[in-house]
Amino acid sequence: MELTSVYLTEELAALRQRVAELEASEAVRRRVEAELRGRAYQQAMIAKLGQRALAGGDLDPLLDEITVLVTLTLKVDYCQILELHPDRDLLRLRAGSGWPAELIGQATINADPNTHLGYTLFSSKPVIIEDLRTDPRFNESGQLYGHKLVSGVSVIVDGQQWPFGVLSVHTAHKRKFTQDDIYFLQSVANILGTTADHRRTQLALQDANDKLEQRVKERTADLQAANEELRNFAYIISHDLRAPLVNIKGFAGELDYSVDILRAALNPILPQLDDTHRDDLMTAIGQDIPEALDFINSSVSRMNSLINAILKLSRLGRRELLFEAIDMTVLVQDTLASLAHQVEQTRTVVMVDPLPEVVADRTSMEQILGNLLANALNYLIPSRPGQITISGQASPEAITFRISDNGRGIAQDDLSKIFDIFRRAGQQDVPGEGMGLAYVRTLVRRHGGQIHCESELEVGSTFIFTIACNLAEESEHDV
Amino acid sequence: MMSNVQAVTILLVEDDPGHARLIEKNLRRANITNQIMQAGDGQQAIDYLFKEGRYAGSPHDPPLLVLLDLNLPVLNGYQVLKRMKEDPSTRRIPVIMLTTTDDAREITKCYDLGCNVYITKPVDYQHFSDAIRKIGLFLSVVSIPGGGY
Repeated sequence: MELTSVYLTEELAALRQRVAELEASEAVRRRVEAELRGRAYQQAMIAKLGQRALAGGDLDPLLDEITVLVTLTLKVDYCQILELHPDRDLLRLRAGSGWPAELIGQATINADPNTHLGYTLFSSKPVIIEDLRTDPRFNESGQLYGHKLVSGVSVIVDGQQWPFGVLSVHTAHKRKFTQDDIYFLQSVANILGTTADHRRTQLALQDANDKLEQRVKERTADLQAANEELRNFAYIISHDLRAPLVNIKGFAGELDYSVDILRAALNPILPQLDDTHRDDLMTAIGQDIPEALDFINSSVSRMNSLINAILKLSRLGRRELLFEAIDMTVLVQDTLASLAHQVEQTRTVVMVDPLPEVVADRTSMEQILGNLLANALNYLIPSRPGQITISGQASPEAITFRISDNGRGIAQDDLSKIFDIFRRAGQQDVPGEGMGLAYVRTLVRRHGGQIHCESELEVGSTFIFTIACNLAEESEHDV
Repeated sequence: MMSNVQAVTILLVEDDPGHARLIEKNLRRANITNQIMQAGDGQQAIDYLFKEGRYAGSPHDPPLLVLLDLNLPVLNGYQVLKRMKEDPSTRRIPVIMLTTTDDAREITKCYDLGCNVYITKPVDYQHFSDAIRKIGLFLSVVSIPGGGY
């Protein structure tokens, strides 16, 4: 019995010990489980924030969301995000939870390193405060905007070039923050820092884009003003330059009448004059005056035709274009048919590749092809049969046409000026006013295209021009 | 030749004295003997037509015809034409635009404002003379409403 009793007592003690152990391990298990749950929850929150940050959009809603989320997750009384002023001397309360709404975006605090917020800006690690009132690192009363703060953690929200600011949490009572809590806050600050940096870059990019757009607008306005000036110029030419010509030509005509009257009046009295006077008079009335008037008249006519050429150019630049689908192969054949006599005379072989269809103004295309083909035929070398090739190629942006000849070619030095008004290159043995290629270039430009020439003397020239696609949808191109 | 109509004066509104002289010479060659009243700017033309300014109280009859340039100092041809065609006392007077501009929009604008004929002054003097002679021919057959004011 005694033995049994001892045995039993020992057994009971062991059993009690075992139960106690089991109870203890159960408590540990529960604690660990709770910690794990808490950590998993925090990680889920971090993931959620990360997604929110990646979604883009304004920074402010994200900041608000962060403060609410941190407050709930860490069960703190206050959470605030303070943004560092570019001068680095002020922190502004950009978002906050637990603070009166009127403080958000308004309240500021000096970024003084003797305060825990200023101190955080210089700390690479989270700043953990057990009691703000007694913490020897800071010279603070434990009051912020009239609220009592006791414990807290604050972390820097860092950026690539300069810190965004500080993220901090506070409690109104003493509280010990776990390592998990601190990691969590640090992770939130990291996400926030990256996002703020990204937004900053986006804003800078947007700003650069806006400035670029502004510059484009200004340049466009300049160009429009220049165009307007050119149009006025054309008007001035048509009116103001013509007016004196009317007078010169008119009074030259009047002089002509007067000479006729003089001649008729003088004829009967000529025999009565001495030889010298008679010869002088006859020379003046019969030769000198008519010669002078002829020069005046021909010069005025030349000037008038130059003015008319400039006017025509300005009208080509203003005429309303009607865009339609054009079979260029047919148009080239029609143009060649109108030049058939010259093709035959120059024994020219013309090769026309199948050409792409274009959407363009028909009259303009006729004028472009007419000018270029006539030029190709006009400037051949008479001693050899002519050879002209016309080809075309379509790309998504533009259609390119090439007109090649085996004519006399254009000197390299002259290539840049052949599209200018009144400029002609090479031997001047073919009549022309030097406006053809200027008209062509104006028309090509109005079709959103470009024209240039490749040439070699004695070998031949190739004129290459483009016509932009989708012309019908676009607004008209200004010259 | 115009003895049976009251209006005998032609108003020539032209700021270029050379042009004015050439027009007058050619009208005379076309046997137009009417008095030609010259105005060097739009304001003078308005003053003459409406007896204002320097012509206030003048006893002259309204002109038989107005030859009107477009580019004029003070008031331009459009302004003169517009005022004439808006006013009942002058809107029936035939107006011939005679200008160096052959811009289609300007021609349209003048006809819209009520001009009767638009003539571009040709640089070629033979054509210029022909155009003025034709005005003379037109004048010899034109009938204007009697009574005027």
